[in-house]
Amino acid sequence: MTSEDNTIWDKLQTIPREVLYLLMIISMIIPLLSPLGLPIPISPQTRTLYDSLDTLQPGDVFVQFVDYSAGSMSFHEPGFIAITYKAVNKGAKLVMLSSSVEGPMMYEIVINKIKPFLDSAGYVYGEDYVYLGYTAGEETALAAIASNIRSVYTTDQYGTPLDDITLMQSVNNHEDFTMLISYTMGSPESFVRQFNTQYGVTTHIHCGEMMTPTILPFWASGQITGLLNGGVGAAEMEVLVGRPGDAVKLTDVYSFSNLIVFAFLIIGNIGFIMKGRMKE
Amino acid sequence: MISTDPSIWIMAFFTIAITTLAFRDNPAAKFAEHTFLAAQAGNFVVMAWRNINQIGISGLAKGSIIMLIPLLFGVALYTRYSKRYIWVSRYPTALMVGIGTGVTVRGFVEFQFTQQIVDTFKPMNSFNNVFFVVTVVVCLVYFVYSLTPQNPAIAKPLGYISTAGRYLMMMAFGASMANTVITRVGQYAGRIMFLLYDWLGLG
Repeated sequence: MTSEDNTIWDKLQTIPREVLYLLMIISMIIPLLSPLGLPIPISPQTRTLYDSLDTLQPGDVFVQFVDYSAGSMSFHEPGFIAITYKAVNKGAKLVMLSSSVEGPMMYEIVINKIKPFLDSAGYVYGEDYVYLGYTAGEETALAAIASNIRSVYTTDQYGTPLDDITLMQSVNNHEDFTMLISYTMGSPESFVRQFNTQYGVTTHIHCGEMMTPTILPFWASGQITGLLNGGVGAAEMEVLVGRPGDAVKLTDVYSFSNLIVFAFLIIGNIGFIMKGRMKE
Repeated sequence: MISTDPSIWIMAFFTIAITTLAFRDNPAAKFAEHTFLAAQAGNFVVMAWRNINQIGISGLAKGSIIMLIPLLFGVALYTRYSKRYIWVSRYPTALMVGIGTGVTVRGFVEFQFTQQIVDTFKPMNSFNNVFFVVTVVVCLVYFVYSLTPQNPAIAKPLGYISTAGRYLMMMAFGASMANTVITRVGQYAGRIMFLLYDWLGLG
């Protein structure tokens, strides 16, 4: 590197990534230890999901695909808890299943967290909620679930035959689903294709923020009814159901850490522009 | 108060170990990485076996002879490891690809094509709708390669529209990139919350 390549403007463009990572970690810790409590405006996508959940009647079957993994647990889990809280308050029956291999692990973790609430609402496993476990096959499996759930599942996660489960005696295919939601980091399009496009089942999606720009046109066209945008969406849902939790804390982290990203973007661009001017 | 649960300490160790990879490659990070992959692979095998057992083998045991077909096709996939019989594995592969394509395609045209085009025709009664329609048209102009008008009176404004289309797409890609960053922040923030609240008991 020549002395011409070692100016202050070059240094601004080549700040070691370790510095950025360290500052990012610090920027996450600060708002978690002393929350900022910034207001959380409700997006129309979250509002439509909430309004749709509000239409649930006692006894309606609400299908939840627990398809997230440990990586996205930080925002999918609060979203799952807030939505389940709302559905239980409306008296809906919960049929939960997974088409991702980590789903059963995530279910066990989250169900232990909401078990006291389910118990207090008088929900009994097998009568008011059930978990069918994981099935392989991805979109092919979804198509099979929509046409005949018994072609994919013969027992629940714990080995009880479906016919011996009270709740499942009246659940056979898409006609018995009032609405469904997928908590996913995979392919939300496949749920919409197999349930909404094929059979018109009301479909909601809770995906990571990185997938939202791809999936948003399907919400705008009405193919997806409700769309939760990662941690921000989960926080909005927590606010709407009146149970602020981990996702609300996350939004402070987003706000604070984004400031660091902005700062580094500006610093890098200043270096780039000034270096260009020096060459001129 | 700091946790006394050994499982929490193990999780904290792996979280910190894998985080150190961002700063420098080291044995602790490698150990965490390999442990994660091994656990993931183990979980995958258990889940796959459970699935085969639940649907295939138990179905066969109950007298459903048709279950022999997917089971045999599954076994046939392993002939890939034999140079002599590798051709056998092509049949189950072809079947899987065929079914997968068929299932996906049956809703594809309506889902991603016709309904999206229909939704493009919006009433021009709000700024958002006008901006949406203008963006669609301008971006489409950017992708018109076959039309190169020689008349400068047409070529010049078309060039401006095409450039505007490029900038609008860049804005969309920028939004996607920003969303990716925020997703990663959210994912890692979950681990920081675990360390602060569950491990160190600071919450």
